[in-house]
Amino acid sequence: MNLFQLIALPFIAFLFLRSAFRVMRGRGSRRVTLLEAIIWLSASIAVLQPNLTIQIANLIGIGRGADLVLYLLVLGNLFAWFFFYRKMQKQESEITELVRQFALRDALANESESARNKITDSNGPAI
Amino acid sequence: MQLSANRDNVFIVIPAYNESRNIRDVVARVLAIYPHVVVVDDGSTDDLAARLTGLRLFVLRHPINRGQGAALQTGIRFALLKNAEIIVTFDADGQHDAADLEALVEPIQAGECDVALGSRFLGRAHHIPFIRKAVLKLGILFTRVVSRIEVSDTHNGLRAFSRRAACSLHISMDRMAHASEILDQIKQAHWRFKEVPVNIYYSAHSRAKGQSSWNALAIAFQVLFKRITG
Repeated sequence: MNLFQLIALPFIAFLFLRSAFRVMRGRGSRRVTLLEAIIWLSASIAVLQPNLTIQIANLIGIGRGADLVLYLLVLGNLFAWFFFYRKMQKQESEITELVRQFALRDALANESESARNKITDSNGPAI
Repeated sequence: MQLSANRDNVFIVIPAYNESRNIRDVVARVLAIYPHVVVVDDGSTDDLAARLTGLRLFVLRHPINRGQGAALQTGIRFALLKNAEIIVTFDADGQHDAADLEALVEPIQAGECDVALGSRFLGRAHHIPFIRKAVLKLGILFTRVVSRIEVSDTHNGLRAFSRRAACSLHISMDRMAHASEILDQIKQAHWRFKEVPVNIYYSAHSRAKGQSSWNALAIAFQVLFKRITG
């Protein structure tokens, strides 16, 4: 085992155990934690068996294993960016709708209040 | 009598964000022609609301700033609740001319169209900066290609809607991309529209307050992204 593996593996193992514990305690989204576990597992395989990534890379026509990892990272990032952008847009429009309801409710309330005042004014005692 | 009855169901919606400098003049000029004005204060941090005291109008307030598209949708929904038959949108910064309002309302009242769009390029754009003109013309080209609707001015805030059109209008682009969105919906819903020449006055204030021309890129991106993701 080389130095890099000695440093990286305990770290990855720690992250994997953390994800595993979270699933066992039933905390967080099960799907997300499962995805995490898969990522840690494949990371540890890639660290232990660098040749394996090279073989997979060669299989699909990419020269180096590191390139394969890089491409996967780029793809993953694009996907995440897309996901969060949509989620943000959805939240933005929800906030807007909430703000709109506030504005409409206040305006209609003010109006009925001033209408009520007018009625009491005209019905008030004539002096 | 006929005329005043016709004006009673027309609502002018003015979205305003930190426009305390011009708002009173703008509103007063509109009120001189149409009695129902709805100002949507889009979370202004200046004394906008205070500037409007004493005028007979509806003031709605967004507690936080949500953008012009959002403010327009709020004002339009309020006008519909007040049984408006025709809804006109009007900018708060003084670039529009209240004298153009009737020309927008008339074709809808006459049943000629569902939507009347103001066009500065059919009318006159006073002191329009060259860069702004170039960017707007690019916007028109972009709209022709992406939305497949042919109009001579795609980003003009002066528009009039029939009740039917306003009911089905749904502005989801809170910020500036709503102009393209409105055109998309006009095209998709097959509303009859008409372009009306209007005046636009570019003042130092409206130029400073208005959009940076670079924003056109952001708008184009948002429109395309929306189209891809649906």
